[in-house]
Amino acid sequence: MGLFTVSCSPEEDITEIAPVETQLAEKPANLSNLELEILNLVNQHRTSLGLSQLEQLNIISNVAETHTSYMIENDKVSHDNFSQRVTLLTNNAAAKNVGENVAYGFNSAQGVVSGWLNSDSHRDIIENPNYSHFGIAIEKNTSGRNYFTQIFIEK
Amino acid sequence: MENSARTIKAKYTPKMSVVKGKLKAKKSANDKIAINTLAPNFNFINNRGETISYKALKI
Repeated sequence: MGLFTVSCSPEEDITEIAPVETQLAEKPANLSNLELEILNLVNQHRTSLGLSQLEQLNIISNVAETHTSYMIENDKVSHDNFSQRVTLLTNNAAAKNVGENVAYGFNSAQGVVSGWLNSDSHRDIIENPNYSHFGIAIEKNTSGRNYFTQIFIEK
Repeated sequence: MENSARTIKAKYTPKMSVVKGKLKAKKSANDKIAINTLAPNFNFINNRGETISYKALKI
């Protein structure tokens, strides 16, 4: 398996050129087994620490889906247009704080959750006591490898 | 003359300018979302083709 490397600079990070959508219709997220397993693992981890369980919101999973599709279309892991998702969730889900973990290439729920928990910065998002709701979207690219977007919000 | 004051809440309409060849959003005084605070929480960790990254924003 080859090593997939990604680099990022602050200038790249704040590139925001697409128009901001202000409304996003809420529809059933129809989560897959893999998506549900990840949400459950995150909540199990939070419970083990005495933290509240997070509630899945379709609007958050729908927003996550737009970004997972974007990453696949662009064939890269990124947080491009993060401020647009923040705006969507502020306007449509009354979000006060937003965190986003993304991943690529993991084959199992346990694998990707362990990867996030083994990273201080990712774990900080998962263990943030202020977050109350979350959503997730996973899709495979044409090579069959998974792209993940998990978004957390505080309402 | 009546002395009145009013507050106008600006919508999220970031202005764009080119910085180092890239479009960069500027923060205006009334922006509810602090664009300039987006960058700090951001990284990648690579692990044999498996990649993770995070970003967080306190609004």
